[in-house]
Amino acid sequence: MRMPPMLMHVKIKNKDHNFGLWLPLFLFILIAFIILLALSPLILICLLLMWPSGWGRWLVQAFKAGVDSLWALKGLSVDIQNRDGVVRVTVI
Amino acid sequence: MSDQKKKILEMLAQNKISADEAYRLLSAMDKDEGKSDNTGRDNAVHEDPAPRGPEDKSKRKYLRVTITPDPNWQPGDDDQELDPHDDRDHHHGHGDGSSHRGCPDKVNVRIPMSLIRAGIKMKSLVPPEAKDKINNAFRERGLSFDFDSIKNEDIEGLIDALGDMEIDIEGRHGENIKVHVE
Repeated sequence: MRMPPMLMHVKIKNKDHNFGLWLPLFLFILIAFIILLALSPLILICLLLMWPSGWGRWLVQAFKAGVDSLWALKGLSVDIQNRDGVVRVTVI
Repeated sequence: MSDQKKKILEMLAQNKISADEAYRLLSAMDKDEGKSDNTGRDNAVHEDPAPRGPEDKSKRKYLRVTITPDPNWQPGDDDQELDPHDDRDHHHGHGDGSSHRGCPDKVNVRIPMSLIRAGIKMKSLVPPEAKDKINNAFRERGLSFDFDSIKNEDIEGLIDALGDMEIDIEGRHGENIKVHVE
């Protein structure tokens, strides 16, 4: 099983701002999972109600696509330097 | 050609397995053969590596896009002159001439191939009504294209083909633009 992204580093440097930020993605994923677990009965009822219309299946596919995209973010690195400053985003 | 490989190709010819499954089976067999050949070999450095095969494509993990400006770039005659009435112009005091409009940025982007796969697979999020509109729009322009005809096996083939892609462009100001898979 592939590991999810753990940390995101954002660095912005320009004339007005100069800061770096470490975001604990693993914490956000954990919190989202707990919220999902807490709301799971509601979500199941919504899915059952929407399944005959076809939107329930769409919701499941959308959720799976969202999770796949989030998991695939690991290793993304964006580094842009121009005359105005520097922007760096790295997902570890 | 081993008997197992022949069987795989026969199954592919009889449409018992898809091209993607055949490719994966053949790759797995090649890996196993490579491992059995390596037992007892010295740890010598190979000066002439073998040409890249299909296995190397699967190991390529990132799409890299880089734009590297020419370090010797100077605002030349072909550039637009600064317009004092144009709000877009920045009047910062950069000594290297980078305050001139048109100065290329330095960009380095590394995109995981898994993200590209996930992005392509997001086609499943397109609602059925929107798919019909997309197909109709294609038909109006003379293209008989079915949005649902994009299958996951096709995506893998596209991703594999990206492994051979290498784009190298020199821009107007001498900047170097590269797109490749690593």
